[in-house]
Amino acid sequence: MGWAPWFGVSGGRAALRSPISCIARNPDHLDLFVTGTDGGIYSTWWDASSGWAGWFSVSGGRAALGSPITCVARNPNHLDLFVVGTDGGIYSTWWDASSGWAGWFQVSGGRAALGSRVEVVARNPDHLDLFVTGTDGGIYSTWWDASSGWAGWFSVSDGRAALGSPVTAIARNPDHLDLFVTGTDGGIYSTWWDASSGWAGWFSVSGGRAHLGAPITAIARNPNHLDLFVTGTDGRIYSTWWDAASGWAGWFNVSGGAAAPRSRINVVARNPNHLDLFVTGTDGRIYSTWWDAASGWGGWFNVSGGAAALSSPIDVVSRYPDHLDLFVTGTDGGIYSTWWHQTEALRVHVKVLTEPTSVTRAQMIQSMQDVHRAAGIDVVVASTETLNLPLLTDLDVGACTRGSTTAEQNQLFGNRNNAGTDDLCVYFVRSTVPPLNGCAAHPGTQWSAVVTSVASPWTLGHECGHVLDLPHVAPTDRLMMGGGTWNITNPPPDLAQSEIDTMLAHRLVR
Amino acid sequence: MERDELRKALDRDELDYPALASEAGPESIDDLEALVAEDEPRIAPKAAYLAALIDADGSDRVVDLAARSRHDVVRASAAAALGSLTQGRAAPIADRLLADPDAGIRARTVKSVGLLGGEIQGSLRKVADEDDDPGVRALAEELIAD
Repeated sequence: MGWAPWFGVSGGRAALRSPISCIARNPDHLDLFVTGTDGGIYSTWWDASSGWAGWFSVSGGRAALGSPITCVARNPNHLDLFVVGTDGGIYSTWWDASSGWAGWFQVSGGRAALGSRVEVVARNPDHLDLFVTGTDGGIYSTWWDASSGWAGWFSVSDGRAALGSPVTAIARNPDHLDLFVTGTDGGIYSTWWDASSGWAGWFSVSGGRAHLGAPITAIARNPNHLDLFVTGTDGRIYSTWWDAASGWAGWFNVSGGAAAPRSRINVVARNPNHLDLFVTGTDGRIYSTWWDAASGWGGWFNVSGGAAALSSPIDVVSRYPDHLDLFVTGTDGGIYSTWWHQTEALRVHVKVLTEPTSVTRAQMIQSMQDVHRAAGIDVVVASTETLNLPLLTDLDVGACTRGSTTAEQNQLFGNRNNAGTDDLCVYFVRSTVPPLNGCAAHPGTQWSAVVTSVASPWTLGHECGHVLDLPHVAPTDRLMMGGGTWNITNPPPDLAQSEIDTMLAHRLVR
Repeated sequence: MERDELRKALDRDELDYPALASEAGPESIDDLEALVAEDEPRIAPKAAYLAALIDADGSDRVVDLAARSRHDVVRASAAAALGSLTQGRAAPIADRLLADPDAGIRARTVKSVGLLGGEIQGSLRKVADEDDDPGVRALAEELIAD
């Protein structure tokens, strides 16, 4: 899959572990918010048309180092921000496309411990609900409605939590809220509000437990389903779910994952049948795993070599179902981002009779991966096998014409260990008869190509291009140039859009 | 064709040898010999094979030069090229290549000799009886039986 390298976001810096809040008001725009190293509240934005802007102070706002800034977009032209200020007051400001940034104001006199997270949900474009653990450990809420303005704070069903505990709120539908928090006894609790019945009492969620103050992450993939994530008391990452049809399930460890106590698990649902999780692991590396309705949970993997201080939250936004943007404060206090964009994959199985001598096999594979990546195709080396077939390493390929193969080719191509029906096998041989750099002729759908020991760095990609139905072309800066890939000019060679379209349409690319 | 044109034509990933042989013609043999003499694994195998396909005076000289290369990939090409020479031109080169230390090259030589047929096939008996590699022996036996 297509993860980009991490990059610094406009030179921004923050205290280690500072959360970066990101919101996509529309699919081609991102707004970021963070408390900077001087306690100022800063923002930057990215727009598809102009790239990243510089950081700027948001109306002179200030907060304790590391304080989370929460943000909501009630509509694409409006943002509301919330933070606990340096005096413990709960403050808000807003940005509107028509008027720009407003000044900060205290929300109904509310107060919380320094650094507390102010949770906000917009159930509809004209309504906000706020939740926070107050200075007395009570769980409080207030709301804003376009028709009536800000209400006073009230206790949510007498709930309590350790000072600074984040309260998680989610609206599965506009008339329903679900809240989650780690209670004063370390139990994981929930309550709900429904327009028809008001607030319910708190209840334990399947007996779950976590360290005091541990954040509970909740996501609704659809209006009748909730998924929860938390770092448990043993440092392992746990999940449970609620479904309208079956109620609450038991907690389970997610793919063996672990993190420092109180680590926030960030999750995004790119579509209703897929979840992506992000967390800083116990070794300080940034990890991800996924759940897909078709395949279940995947294993954890390090995201582009990224690292951060233990417990650093990884904020994630999915602007499109095939795109993710990640943000984190890195180990040096720099604010970093990476993105993932879904690409198609070509699975290649490497069969080695003779190693290349002109360039290394690794160079050939890397060269092919580089060219194809630019076309949005990941070349995945699914397996590598050595074949001890000395009588086939100088392979008779006949005229090397499409659909016509020799007895020797048929014999060699019968070696397809590990390869699926729609996988490509590439055979590294010493030479062909007659002498070629490679040959893509293969019988029917037994997808195969041979590459010889004197091939160029680009021959592998060139021959695989033939398998994917690409013909020779004249321009010398193209992968499929017929004049010999040793003579490609201006490397790496290009693929024309029409060639990319042809490759993407091939059944091997999926 | 000039030598550089020939080199350029041979430096393609895939070649149409029959068409190139027609285009280059017997007058290219000296240039092909020079290209084989350079002993560059990227070009020499193709030059030797093309020279044999042209089958002119001097073709055997070019293939013989390839058969003496320090690069196994060039000698492998000479072994394949034998099949395009006449029996008389191929025989002494076949003797050399059937004694090559590389089993793959000996096997390819056996196949080329099998293609040529006639008296030269007498050399296969010795291979079938004495070659170190059981695969090469079996291949020679199979061709004798045919």
